Amino acid sequence: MHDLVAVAERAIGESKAQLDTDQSRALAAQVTAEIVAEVSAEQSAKALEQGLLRR
Amino acid sequence: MSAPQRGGGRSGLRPQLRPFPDDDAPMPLRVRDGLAHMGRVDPAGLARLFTLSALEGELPAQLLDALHAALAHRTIAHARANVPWYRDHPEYSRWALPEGGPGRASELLAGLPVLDRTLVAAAPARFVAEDVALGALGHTSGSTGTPLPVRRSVEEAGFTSAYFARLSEPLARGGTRPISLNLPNSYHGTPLRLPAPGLSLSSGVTDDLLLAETARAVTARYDLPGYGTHVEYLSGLVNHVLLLTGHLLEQGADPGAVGLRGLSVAGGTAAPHWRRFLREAWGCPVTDRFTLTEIVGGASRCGRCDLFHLDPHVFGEVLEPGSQAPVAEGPGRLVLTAFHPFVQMQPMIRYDTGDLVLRRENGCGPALAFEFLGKHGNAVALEHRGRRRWLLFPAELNAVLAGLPDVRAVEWASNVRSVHDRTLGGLPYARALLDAQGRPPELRVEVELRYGPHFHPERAEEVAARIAAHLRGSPGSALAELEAEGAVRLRVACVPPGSLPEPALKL
Ligand SMILES: [Zn+2]
Repeated sequence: MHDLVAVAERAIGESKAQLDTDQSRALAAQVTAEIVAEVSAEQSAKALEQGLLRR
Repeated sequence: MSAPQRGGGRSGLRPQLRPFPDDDAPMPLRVRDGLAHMGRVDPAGLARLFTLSALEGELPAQLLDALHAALAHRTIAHARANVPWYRDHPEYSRWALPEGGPGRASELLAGLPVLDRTLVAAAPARFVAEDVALGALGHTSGSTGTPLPVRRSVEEAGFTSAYFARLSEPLARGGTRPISLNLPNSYHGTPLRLPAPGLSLSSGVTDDLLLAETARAVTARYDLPGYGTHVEYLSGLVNHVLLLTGHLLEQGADPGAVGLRGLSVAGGTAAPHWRRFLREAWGCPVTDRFTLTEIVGGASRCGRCDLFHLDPHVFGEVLEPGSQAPVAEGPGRLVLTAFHPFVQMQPMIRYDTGDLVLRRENGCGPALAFEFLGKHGNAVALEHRGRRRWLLFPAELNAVLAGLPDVRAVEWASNVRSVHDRTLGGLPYARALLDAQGRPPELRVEVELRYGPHFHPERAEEVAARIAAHLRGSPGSALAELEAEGAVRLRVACVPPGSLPEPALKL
């Protein structure tokens, strides 16, 4: 996999391949919203369970 | 270069003898064939490749096609080796990557059967892979019938977790990780566990206590070493986010003062008026997400062209209803493929989502661009001179109704007493019927107002005229053209409160 990533990076160009560009940040932010949605559902189910036990 | 070969062995994904094509082959082909035939896929490496494919230019676009082709190979090889339904259908064993060149991206899966929810729901066990362990059980909403069980494996949860963790890494700027607040979707069973990029707070809006806690959490300042000082990302079901926003404004709080960097809504159709309201209230970009429980991932509305673009790791096609003919531009059914290793236990290859979309070739990035039109079954069409002509799309009707305060909306949060307008995020009371026996056939759209139209007749007429004008101008609809020919007649009727049944959960 490392070889393939290197091949793609070389072809597309090192400067464009910066991960931490605004574009990749925007992409990450979009994806993140969904990740957060999924992970928090799990947490909130847990919190609800604990809350019910306390009552 | 080596000819792509069928995966051998039970896993179907054993490394091949000559996994890499010649060094002088073009980069996309080298990546395609290398990725198609390698053993285990490293999630961080794949995340890096998809990030590169999202950059602008012809070469990244070719890389995206190559990644899709390689993952299609892995998905089909895995499914035909391990999943009874795919094993028993000869079309899958005949499928192979194009040799000697990349082939046309739009024809990658051509010829394979198109699955739909009814087919999968009739025998869900036949779609389950035998090589992975059950980790979570979810289900679809059942908005179009019986909910479809969705099984997710321990293995795919591990892979997607590592993949998305890598994608969200750039969000930890200068060592500070963001705080996010989520109003979770608890309507689809056990969710897939995925890592948050920073600290993920979770709350809700569906009772007074939860809503008060959410209002506090979103406006609070935090002093947590390594994290930001306030909530930077808010996400949740669109009706939940709207209710929270309305509540804050009713209380005299300014959502814009929170300093959100991003707001993301999912789980329903966010009408243009809703998105505008949220953007102005919070003063930040709003990401409208189109997602399905059956597929890990979906599409995001683009800040540049305002259409949905599919996530890079999902493969989408737009096909004619009733046939497998591809639609290059215009309305069609959205067919999605979830790739291995993102989806492993219940592979969905060419899965008809039941949704109609308007496909656009707008040159904005390589990913499929579309507007959501609503459930196929809720759209209205007319057979005219032997052709199907679309008259009305549910999402277009909803788009105009959501901008009209006269229209009655579902008071979906009726138990939340601390909010005074409990209709924010509720769908409008309306229905569309085609009387095909009429001469000419009549498309009757009934819209329920918050008041009796007899009491404000002039205003009711204005409302009806605005709705009619919007429907006649909807892209992809033949309504105006057929009306001009005298082949159909549109009638919009405003009706008093209590006239119509409660709208369905989804458009
Ligand atoms: Zn775009």
